[in-house]
Amino acid sequence: MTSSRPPFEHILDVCIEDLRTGRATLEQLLALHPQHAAMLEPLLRTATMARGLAIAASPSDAAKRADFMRLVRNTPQQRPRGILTTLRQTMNGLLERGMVIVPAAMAVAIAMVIVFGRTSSHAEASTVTIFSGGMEQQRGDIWTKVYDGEHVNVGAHLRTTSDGRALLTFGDGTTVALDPTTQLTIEAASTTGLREIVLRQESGRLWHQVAPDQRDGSTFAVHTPTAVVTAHGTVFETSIAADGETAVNTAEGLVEVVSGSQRVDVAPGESANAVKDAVRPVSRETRAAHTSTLEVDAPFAASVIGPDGRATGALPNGITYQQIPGAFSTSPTVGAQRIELSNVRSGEYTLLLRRTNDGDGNITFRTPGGNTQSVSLPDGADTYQLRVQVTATGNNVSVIPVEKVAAVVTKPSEAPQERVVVTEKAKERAAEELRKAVVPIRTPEPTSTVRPRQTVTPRPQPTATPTRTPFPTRTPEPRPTFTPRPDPTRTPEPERTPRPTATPDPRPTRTPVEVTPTPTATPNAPPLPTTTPTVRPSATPTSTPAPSGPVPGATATVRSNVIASATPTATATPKPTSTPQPGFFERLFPRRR
Amino acid sequence: MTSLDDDSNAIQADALAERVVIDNLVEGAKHGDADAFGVLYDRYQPEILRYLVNHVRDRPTAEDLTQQVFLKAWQAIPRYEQRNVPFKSWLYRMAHNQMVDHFRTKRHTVDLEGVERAEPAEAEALVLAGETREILEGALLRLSNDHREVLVLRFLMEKSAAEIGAIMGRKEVTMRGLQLRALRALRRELDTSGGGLA
Repeated sequence: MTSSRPPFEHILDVCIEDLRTGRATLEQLLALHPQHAAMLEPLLRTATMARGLAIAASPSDAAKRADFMRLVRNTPQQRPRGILTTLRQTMNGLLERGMVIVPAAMAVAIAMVIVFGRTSSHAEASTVTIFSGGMEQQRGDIWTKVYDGEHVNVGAHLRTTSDGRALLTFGDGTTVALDPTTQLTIEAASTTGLREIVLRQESGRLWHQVAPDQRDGSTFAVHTPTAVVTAHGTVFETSIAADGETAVNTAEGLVEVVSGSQRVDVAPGESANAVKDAVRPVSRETRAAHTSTLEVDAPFAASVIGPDGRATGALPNGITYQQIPGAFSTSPTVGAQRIELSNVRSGEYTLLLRRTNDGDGNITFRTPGGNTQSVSLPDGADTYQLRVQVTATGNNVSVIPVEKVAAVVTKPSEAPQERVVVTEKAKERAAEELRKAVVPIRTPEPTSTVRPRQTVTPRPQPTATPTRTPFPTRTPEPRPTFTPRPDPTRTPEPERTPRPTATPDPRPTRTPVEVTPTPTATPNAPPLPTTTPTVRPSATPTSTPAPSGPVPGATATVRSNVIASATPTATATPKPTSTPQPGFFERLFPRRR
Repeated sequence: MTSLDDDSNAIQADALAERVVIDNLVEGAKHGDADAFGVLYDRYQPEILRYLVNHVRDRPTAEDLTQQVFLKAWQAIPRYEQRNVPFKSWLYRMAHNQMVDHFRTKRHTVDLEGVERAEPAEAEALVLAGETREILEGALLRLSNDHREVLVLRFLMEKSAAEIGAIMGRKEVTMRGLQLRALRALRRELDTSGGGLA
């Protein structure tokens, strides 16, 4: 026979509820449960006292509700991760472009889905990537934290903390990297029709990678306290000094700087400073003298990953990303890839090299003083990595390899992590770049070089396994800047069995390579044009200049973590600018995970 | 039939009815229906606001945090899976994390132990006198995390054991046991530090 008597904790709970709702008084409850009265009384008195700490809060008024609903209607949602849907859509678009790029497109599409997890569908918003420190958004009078991966909308007033490094990715793939203590407002972010991205930069330093868009009416503009800077498909920097002076440095394309009635077109390698109603050009030679260059004369796509996780470089699929302010990379699809570093942070960087075709080659480091060092990349391995030391002394930036040989990356899990926010338009441009590639790009091998975020369990994807079979319909053309050396031991094979990605490479993990230091000041620096920016009156301050020079293919945003540094998750986690002492309730309720 | 059974049945019936309504609203919001989300906002905003007010002890701050919670909920709701956690619990977890982040990142947080204590004038219903409140808060501080959480939800938020169980992801019967142990622990602390306040 079982007892139907409820347990004491049940009785206590009911009594508490009766007390709370006023259905009974303490005395009535004690009389109702005489057998438990001795135990109930102190507990109910304690409960009553605890309730005294409560604060009643009336609901918000209708006006606040209306404001909030307006905010909701203007805030895009984060779509669920539809891997198969995304992959199918990507492949449908790429298949129409011909079978030549199918293997590469397949690998790219799969890699994008695997690595990046989602695609951005927020045409009117931008996606925030936090590399270090934090970013905040002003809501009313309060600055609130912006989270990694969050979408911010038109009107967002943003700032980075004193150690905050972040990136905004817009719908067309345009990216804007924010350095610490930078403040801006997104005044327009439309990319559905004609692009209209307008930023109002109040302070700090921004590094822009503007997606190519030559259509009339397409706008990318940065309003600073002293200038209006416009571009169409460029990589450039805007930084604001304490006195409000705006400095504009262009790495690629053409940027128009207008201040008052003066206008300056700033070409690649040039700079301009704008004060109120005046723009002063800076000669190209001055800037070039401070720049270190890394030239990849080998069938590899290179990526430089900074100590804070930002990266500049390219993937084998032609996507370039320019996240490190002051660093610029060309695309490996248009010739020998070149990465320039100017005005970047000192520290140990990781150079990651991913094979794009068979053959060997060299990486050449050129310092501003003219010294060069070369590292050979032999044929064989698919991925190499090399630690390089970047030293910024004043304006001079030197880049030298820390190691004499490039290490072979045999395990994808050991490769630096890169995260890319890939928009649909960026994917389309990447496919187009592949189709028009001057340099033959073989099967990209994203799964062997770019691994998913560590929170995602890496799983070998059979369809993504790199194959070494040459494209059946594409005859490799000689690269304009690099001719692969014939390798007698590596005759073309009609077929090669793909290696399982999880199987360790049987080849030695380190291949002897040559390091050829050239201590003398050999003038190997690329020739510089002698043109200087010109100042001319501007009748139409908002006119659009015609960009010059090659433009990058797709734009992408990459975040990566350096192998030699702390754990990737540690570097990727946004940190508050300070660590305040925990308050009462913080200690009371530590955050649940 | 006891009142306990009535209450339990009523809770279950209410929960079932609410679940159907909420499921439909959530499904609409997941597909971008702002109006459906507005109904969810109307239904849960006061509760989340009260939860946050009771933690941060400051109405404007709590309102701002509440808005952030719901804005993040709107952004993230397409990824929300109802089978994993009830919607309200999902909201509470977001509110909890928002609150913790608030204390972690803002220097001028309301420190209940120190000089920046919330002014009673701002708090709308601080019943206890200052000294008694300090003793009570000190006693709460010394409790385990689970004990503190259940007491605040039960007595500051006036949630039922079933609701607390849903919020904390535990069974109702477990919550009743936890509530009993938490009250006993608080009582011991008050006896020790407060000289028999309770």
